[in-house]
Amino acid sequence: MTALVALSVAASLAGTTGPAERRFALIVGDSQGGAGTRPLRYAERDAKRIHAILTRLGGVREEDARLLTGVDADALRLAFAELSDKARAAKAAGDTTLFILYYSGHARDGDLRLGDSRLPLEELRASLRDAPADVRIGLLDSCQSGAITRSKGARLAPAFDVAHGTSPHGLVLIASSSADEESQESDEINASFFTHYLASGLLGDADASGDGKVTLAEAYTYAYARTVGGTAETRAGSQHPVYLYDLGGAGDVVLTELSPASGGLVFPSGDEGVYVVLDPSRKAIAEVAKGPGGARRLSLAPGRYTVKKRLADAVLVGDVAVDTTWTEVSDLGMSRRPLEQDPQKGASGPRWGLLSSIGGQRFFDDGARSGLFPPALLGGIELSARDDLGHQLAYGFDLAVGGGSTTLRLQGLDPIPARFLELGGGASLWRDVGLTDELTASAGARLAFLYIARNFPGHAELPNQSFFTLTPGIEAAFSYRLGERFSAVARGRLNYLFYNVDKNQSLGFAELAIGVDYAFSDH
Amino acid sequence: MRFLIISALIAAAGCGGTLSNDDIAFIEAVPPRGSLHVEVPAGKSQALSTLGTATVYTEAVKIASSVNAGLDGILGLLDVIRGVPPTTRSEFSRTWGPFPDKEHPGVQIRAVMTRQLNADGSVYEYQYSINARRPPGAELPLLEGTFFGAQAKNGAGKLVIRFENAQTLGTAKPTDPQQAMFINYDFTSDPKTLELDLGLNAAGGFGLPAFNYGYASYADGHGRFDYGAPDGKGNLFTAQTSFTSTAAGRALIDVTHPPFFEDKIVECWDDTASLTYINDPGGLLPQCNRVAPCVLGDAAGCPSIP
Repeated sequence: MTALVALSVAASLAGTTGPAERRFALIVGDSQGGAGTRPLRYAERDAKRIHAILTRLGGVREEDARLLTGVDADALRLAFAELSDKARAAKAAGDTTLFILYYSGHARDGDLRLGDSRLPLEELRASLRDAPADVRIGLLDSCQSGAITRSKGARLAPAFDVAHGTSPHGLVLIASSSADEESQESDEINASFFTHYLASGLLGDADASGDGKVTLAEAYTYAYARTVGGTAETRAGSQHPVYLYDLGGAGDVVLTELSPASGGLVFPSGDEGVYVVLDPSRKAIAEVAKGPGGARRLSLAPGRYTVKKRLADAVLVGDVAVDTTWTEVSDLGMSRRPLEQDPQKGASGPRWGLLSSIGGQRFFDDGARSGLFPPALLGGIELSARDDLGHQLAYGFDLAVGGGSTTLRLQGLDPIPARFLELGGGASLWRDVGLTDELTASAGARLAFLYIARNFPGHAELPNQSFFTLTPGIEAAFSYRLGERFSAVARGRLNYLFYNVDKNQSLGFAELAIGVDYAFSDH
Repeated sequence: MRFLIISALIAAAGCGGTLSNDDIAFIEAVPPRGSLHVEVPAGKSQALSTLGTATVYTEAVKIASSVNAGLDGILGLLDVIRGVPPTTRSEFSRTWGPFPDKEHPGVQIRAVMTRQLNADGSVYEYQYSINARRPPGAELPLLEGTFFGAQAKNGAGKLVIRFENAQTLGTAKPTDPQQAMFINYDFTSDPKTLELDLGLNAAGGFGLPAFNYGYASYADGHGRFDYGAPDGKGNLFTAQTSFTSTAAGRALIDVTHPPFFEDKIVECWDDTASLTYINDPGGLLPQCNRVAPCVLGDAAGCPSIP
């Protein structure tokens, strides 16, 4: 193991990028895997992270990158063909070319699953093998994706065995898990393990040589070690990335360069430990596993970040602003806080949203509807929390107010006008099921209170009346995402109400509402 | 059992309330204040004729006001039914209280209403009572009512005010009658009638002489009010007044001074309460100057009242 790591570090020194090199990247994220799969939570976010890293640090021009989310296999094929054409043209113009395919999503039984469509791994491997680029790299983060490496040269190993030299050419396939393993996601890091560590490595933590360049071998070595370690205690068990390395010629490939101009964080040589970098929404964007000796650089886009380092009995927290220079983060400059004030708890905890809705309420029983509980118009709000309970469960607390007017028609009495006010609220627990990238269905249960008060204009002899009760019920909703923060929501509820004033009576009523949900943090 | 369990759970959660259509039905059967009124139309500003003012009309207005005030006071007893939600409910009854009587320490008030339904679910009859007791004494009815129909404003009913029980309980006012008072009303057809019977009380009540006061109101606005009034000279005037919707009217006045004489007077007046005709066979009215028989004015000026 040590020898292999050392070998890979030595090999990475050979990596280089030249001014005549063109790089092309096809990055695909798809949370849906069709029938028999459950939606992934972070596949699309993973793809966006890799896209951002490759275009910022990986030498891929914006126009040479394609980011696809929620597409089918044909769309992937089409984008692959388009980029291949561009690579072919660049190669014809004398450029050395590199083609990277990154995929985060479902895979099963030898196929990538993009929604309901399939893309055989054999086809993908053949496409990469035949792609008109000097170096073709496939990075697959999906369950059983190691199947793509079922070929001569496939290795389940912690590091590449890379020879020195220049002008590498050929094919490298890296899969996040072996052919019989699941690739795991983590609510704590809001990503899949493999991509999280791959991204952290590409940002600089994999730069074992300290030369400011992260090579393919370094990135793999780092991602392998961290993924295996990070999943060692998960319920699914350790996840082992695998690779197929078939580079002709010699040498390694530099995937990212930590250019001084890009700016970032510097972890000084005197400190060591695992540092987690959080974005302003308190989601992890990178980790640094800092060993003793030597400074470690992490290239970040300008912005504000929070860095934390978890100790046995406390957590060190520091807020830093990154611009185009390197900002040092030292343990001495961070504040010591109790473990319960871990800033990442906010990221792995609830994702809050506020739904404003308007709708109506209608009782099923004719007598109740025409008398005690007439149809009402209700406006309400609901504060909901997702990503807090796991298993795609969410909960919320709602409050609604409404009312209306009606005419009470009792046997033998003249019609009596009545005005009523209604106040309701409750707590709900439901499960979200993603149907598409934008459309989510949910179903759950709710326990609510209902307060109704009514008076009788023009009838001074009649006192005001009121009623309060608890109403259990079930609810279902469809949510269509309109953007990063806003969703349109249509929701229905069925409720039970026990009425016990005039007589004991079990009643049911329905509520339908539409509204707009605002998420306080990114999806 | 299921409802018992649910009820227990709901009750434990503080659930329940006063939202009740049946409560409304019960309340609507009880005549509210102002619903039992004698309404004698007000005349125009006076332009006195040579015969003077029709005192029989102005007395009718005064007495009607006293009757109305007395009836409102009685119906005020029923506020206990309207003011607070029932204490207990069943399909056929409502009970309020017992509550402490704020005006009479040591006395407890309880109201009970029951109803009987026809086969089709419509109401045949309501019965209600306002009862009081001074513990450890027995409960006594202060007011008893019966009502036929669904809502007081177009049904028929009767009320008995048990002043004798109020005297027993020590809750009666000094001016209250000593014996029972009866009220009958029938708003089911034209005319609507109202009767206040103070006949059992020699001293009358509410400042009114003992009499069986009767009132009828017709849909076209005309009406009739029968009342009795002493003149302070030992004479008792009993008047059968009829009036149009504009307050013009005529009256048949029976004047007695037992055992000495009886006189029957006819008066007519216009809508300014000015007398237009007098026929006083005994010549008792001042306008007659003790000349009998006395006929003044023109009988043709008397309003035509059915």
